[in-house]
Amino acid sequence: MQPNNVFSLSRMWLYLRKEVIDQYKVFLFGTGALVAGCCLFGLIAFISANPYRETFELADMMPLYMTLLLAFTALMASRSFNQLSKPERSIDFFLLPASHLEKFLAQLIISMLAVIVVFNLAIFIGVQFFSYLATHYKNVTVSMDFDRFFPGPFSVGIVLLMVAGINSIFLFGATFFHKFALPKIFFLFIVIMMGIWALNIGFTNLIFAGHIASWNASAPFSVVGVIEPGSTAGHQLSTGYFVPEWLGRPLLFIAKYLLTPALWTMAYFRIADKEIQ
Amino acid sequence: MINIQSLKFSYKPSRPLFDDLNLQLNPGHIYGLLGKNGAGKSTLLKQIAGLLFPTSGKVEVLGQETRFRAPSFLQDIFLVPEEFYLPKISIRQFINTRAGFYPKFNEQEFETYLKEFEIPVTQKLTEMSYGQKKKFLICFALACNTRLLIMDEPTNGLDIPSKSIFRKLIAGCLSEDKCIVISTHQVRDLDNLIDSIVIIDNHRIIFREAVETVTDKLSFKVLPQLDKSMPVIYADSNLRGHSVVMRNMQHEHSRIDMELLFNAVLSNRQSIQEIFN
Repeated sequence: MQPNNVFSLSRMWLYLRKEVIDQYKVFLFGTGALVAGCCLFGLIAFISANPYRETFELADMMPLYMTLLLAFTALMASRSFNQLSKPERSIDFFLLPASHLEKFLAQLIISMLAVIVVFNLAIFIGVQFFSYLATHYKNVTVSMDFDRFFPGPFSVGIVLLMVAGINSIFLFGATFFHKFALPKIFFLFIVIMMGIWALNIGFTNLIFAGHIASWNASAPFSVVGVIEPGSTAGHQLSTGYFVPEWLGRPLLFIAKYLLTPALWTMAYFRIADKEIQ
Repeated sequence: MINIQSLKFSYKPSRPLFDDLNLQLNPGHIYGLLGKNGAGKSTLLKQIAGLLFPTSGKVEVLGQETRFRAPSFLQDIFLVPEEFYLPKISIRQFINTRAGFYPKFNEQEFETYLKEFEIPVTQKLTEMSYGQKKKFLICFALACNTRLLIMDEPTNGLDIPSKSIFRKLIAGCLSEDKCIVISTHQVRDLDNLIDSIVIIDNHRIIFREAVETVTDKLSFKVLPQLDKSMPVIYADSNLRGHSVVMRNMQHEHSRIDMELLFNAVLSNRQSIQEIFN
């Protein structure tokens, strides 16, 4: 029988198990630090809480939750291929009998699914700790308003898309940088974003020369601020020209659903094409 | 088993490392790959293991192109690199997480090999010295029973008794369907072990003969004095007299001196080629 050289669920499970056991100390330490950090945060929140406040709402923590979730996702995704930082570890990685796809998917599972589970568990423990302190020592109620936790534009689906997006950016970056990957990828990401912004400013100033409200009155892929005809030097009227819907919708679709898988695919091929010198 | 055809490879475009290299290695043999520093031995081993990709030409092992690193190929080869990586886990955990990738792994054999090297199964990999780690990896490599076993400087770091055990184990595990390739500078460590010699110099295979053919055509002797009438190809003076390589005119049997042969091939290539062609 021809062996499956591309994907075998049992082999990927073996690989996933190997990765977790190989790094169990790092994972345990990371999980412990995260739980301890969340409990510490709960304690700080308890100490610094307004003494006259009678109720605390969980939904108030949403911005902090999102920031920490995305930061933790970025950290774990940037560590995905740190074994490629040394030739001997790279040899171990590439010569282990599993396909590139299985190895890549295993890293994706660890850096995304495991991160979401561990992070939410740690946050849950931190919140329970805060809730216990607040109800027992300050006599206040903590409202577990999970239904309001992901409001309006931040539905669970969108949050997951954001996590996947950050994961794909840092996972792709991890195929380039193996040591101190997080700051390097973050810096490069900022540079690329600034580059896109600068390119956009260049184009909009060229296209709307003399009509643009100010040199930086534009946002890439979305809007340009243009001076309306009839404006005078003392009284300037400007209008924001948004991309038309027929273009905006595909752009939004690409940003939401295509960019992330495209980055994952490129990361996969970069790993498959890597040589050890 | 190993089929290299018209291999071209370079780390830098301006400096080709291999140019039209051809090599066929068959099962049932232990090949010694010898060469000076920088001759290209490790690069050739990496090509065979699929860690480097040819610029052009083909490197096939067991009928599969190595550059694809397919699991069915990887589970039938094992590379013991000079510098290797072992995770910070116990021997038992190592076996539990890695043996499953090698269908022919034999745990009983593994424990026997460990016993030969006097390594307790209960010992942690982190508590081992470099030499012990190397012995452990050799034991694991042998127990995987892969059809191709590649070893880069396997005796580096081994003490004198361990080198004898190493030779005994390697000789004992060879079978008709297996091929073992050992690259080393320590040519004396391979005495009585290898049955075929491959010498690589300036990134070309300059000598590839069976030990039996070598001892048929060449004679290795220690002479008190050198006589110009003797068909000496290479001589090395030492305290015992003159170690020489000569044409085996009388068809007498002598024990191969790997170091002497290596120096003879490098210093008097033309004479050697005339004898063997």
